Amino acid sequence: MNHEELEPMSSGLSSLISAEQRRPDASEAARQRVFERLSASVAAAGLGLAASGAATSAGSASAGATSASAASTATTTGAAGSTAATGGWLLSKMTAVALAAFVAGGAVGATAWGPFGSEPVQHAEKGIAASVLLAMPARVAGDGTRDEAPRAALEAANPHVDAELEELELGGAPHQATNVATKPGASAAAGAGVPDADEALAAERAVLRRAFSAMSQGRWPSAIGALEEHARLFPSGRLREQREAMMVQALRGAGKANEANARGDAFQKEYPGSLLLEGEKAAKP
Amino acid sequence: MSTAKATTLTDLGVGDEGDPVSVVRSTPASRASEGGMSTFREVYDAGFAYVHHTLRRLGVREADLEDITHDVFIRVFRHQAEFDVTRPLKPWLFGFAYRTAQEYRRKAVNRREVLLDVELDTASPSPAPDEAAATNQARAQLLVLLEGLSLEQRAVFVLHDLDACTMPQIAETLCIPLNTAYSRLRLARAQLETSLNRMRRRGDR
Repeated sequence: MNHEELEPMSSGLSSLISAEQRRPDASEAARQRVFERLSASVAAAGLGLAASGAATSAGSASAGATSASAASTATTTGAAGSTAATGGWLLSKMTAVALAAFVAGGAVGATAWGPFGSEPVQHAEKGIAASVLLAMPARVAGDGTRDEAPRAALEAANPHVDAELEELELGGAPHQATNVATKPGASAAAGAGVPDADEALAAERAVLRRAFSAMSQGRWPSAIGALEEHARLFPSGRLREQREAMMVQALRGAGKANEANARGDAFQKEYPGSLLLEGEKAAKP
Repeated sequence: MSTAKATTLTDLGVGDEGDPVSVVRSTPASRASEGGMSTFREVYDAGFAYVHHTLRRLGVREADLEDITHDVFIRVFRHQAEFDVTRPLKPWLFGFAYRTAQEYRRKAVNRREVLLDVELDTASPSPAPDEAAATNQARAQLLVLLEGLSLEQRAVFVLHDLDACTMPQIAETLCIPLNTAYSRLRLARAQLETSLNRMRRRGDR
């Protein structure tokens, strides 16, 4: 059979097709929302790796290690050690940067993935925490002041971030994010018209970010506390699947294997089609 | 990391209006220098709207579109290393969207959910007050009609008649013989014509 043998379409059907082909694209807000969730999911899925890596390297991690550096260490350790046990698909330097971006959190929407570009990866070789800061857009509040929360969070986690930042800024121009949110006008507009759902998602991410930061430093009780807080505040939140995946990892990291396995089983029942399951299975002893 | 400038999808015009997302001519070396994640970011930006549209056309409800789009791109993320930049992007993305929509529909059927959330009133062929309303009505009608097709026929129809993919591309994307692809397209069109006539007869009464 070939094209010549196909019946020609009626004008009626052709006009419907033509209308559908001209359907407007999904909104920029939708594109960013999905990206937010993707970054959280990637981080949650990668925690199987990060948690196991951190667990094996916890003894040698210095007290001042950054969360992002810990993620990097975890990844490196995993790559050098138990590649088979951890699944492998996230075993890359890129993953460490992805996780660092999630820790930073302030990198909203597409910008959260800015570190995945070639420039930030180059930065990551010098200092992941600082490279995340460089990759993040300045969040500008309605009164024009810059939101320093992401920077403060990173500084709290890494006292050396200033030195890293200085080195990177001297080494080259910061990554210029292309996201509309980086434009002052766009930021103000976005701030004025952000839907409640987006604010709720950001709030959810903030709590999970704390949990992630604690996990990547091996502070399992703190991580569990943050995850429980998320469960209290957002029992049916949009990131609950990510929360549950992280909880399994945190419990495992805390040495609560039985509880971790039980939560893992419950996770598989609740989210049988979850794309985070692969990481869960890989992390399960 | 290589200092050579990577040939990116964006450089090559991927994602431009009306572009079939088939313009990727980077060499293996330049591809390696891009790194998987760099490509993923570009794939996401270039492919988000397409995946979103495709899922709707494959029967994902409006309310679930963002969730399912997320799931598609998680799969894309995992398989990004397999993306051959010398091949068109759309059929590759369609493969992930198709499988994800297939699972979505299977689960929905198991839960006995009604997937069609298009307002049936808007699908009636009553005179439209203006051109925009007529266009919206036409889109709604098509989604209603597509519900009458099997997912297999629907996939071929969407790829060929909406995305303008070639039949060999479609056969490869869906892993079916070329003749099967033609057969599904013929049956899909015939079914759509019949359903459209029936819908219009009902509207004339």
